[in-house]
Amino acid sequence: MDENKALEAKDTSTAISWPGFFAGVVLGAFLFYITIQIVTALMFSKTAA
Amino acid sequence: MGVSRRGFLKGLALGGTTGYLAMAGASSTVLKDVFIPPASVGDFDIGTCKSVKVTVVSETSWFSNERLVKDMKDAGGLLVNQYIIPWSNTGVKEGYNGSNAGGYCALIDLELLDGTKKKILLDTGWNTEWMDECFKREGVDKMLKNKEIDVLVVSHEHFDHFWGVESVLKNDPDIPIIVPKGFYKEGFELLKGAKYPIAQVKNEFPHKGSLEVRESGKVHPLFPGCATISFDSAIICRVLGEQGLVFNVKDKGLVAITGCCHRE
Repeated sequence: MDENKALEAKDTSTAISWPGFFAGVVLGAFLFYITIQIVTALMFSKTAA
Repeated sequence: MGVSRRGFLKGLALGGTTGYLAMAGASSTVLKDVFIPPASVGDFDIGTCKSVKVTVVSETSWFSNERLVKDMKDAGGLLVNQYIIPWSNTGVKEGYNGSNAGGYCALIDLELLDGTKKKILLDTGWNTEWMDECFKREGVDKMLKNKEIDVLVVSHEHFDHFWGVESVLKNDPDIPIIVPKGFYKEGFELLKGAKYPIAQVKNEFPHKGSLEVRESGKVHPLFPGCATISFDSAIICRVLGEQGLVFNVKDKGLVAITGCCHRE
């Protein structure tokens, strides 16, 4: 019985974290937005390229 | 039981990838207006004209897409300045005299409500030899010499729409020219008679007439029932700004005539 509990604890500790996932979604979306803003700024810059 | 740091990071990585890809998809669909704000110019009365007729002088901008893309890639990519790209002007099997350069140009005949007739040349093409022949075929060279064409509207600075300007200016150096805001120094210098040996473009007939640069995001009346609309478009080969023509034809409605329609 104690061995099973130890295994359960181990599995839970390496599972994907949902808070981490949602934080990642927000971060990823923000990174894409920032990327596009930078590309747009460079495209419209008279000194670019 | 709490979540380990490793589990949190795995979630963060998976969520980050999901969020990035989801935002990429949303940017071109439901959030399109956020990423590319609509270029609204509001309501504007440009009047009414009687009729408008378009004669396409040349629509063969270039002869080989493959060669054009190769020229751009070899020069460093799509954002490289068009004036420093060594465009293929020989050895193109299907090209004009071996050159890949052709050009886009249209002649617009406008009739106002009082019967007055106006002629607008939209763009100049690219290859001056090709454009000389096209102008001869459609009689544009004689119209230019006789000062029958009222104005040259350059839709944007791209090679295939503007670099044939010598073919226009050799026949009428005094023609009024309208360009969109965003023209680069090289473009203005070309009008004055500059040469760009790498890109193999030149103009030996300096422009002597009026030159107007039209602001972006506005409707600019040209003739009764006719206006230009300019946009702040950033386009490949380091070109900025584009303009199109709009006509309000009596009993018909609005007619839009564009060069490339990158943004309009």
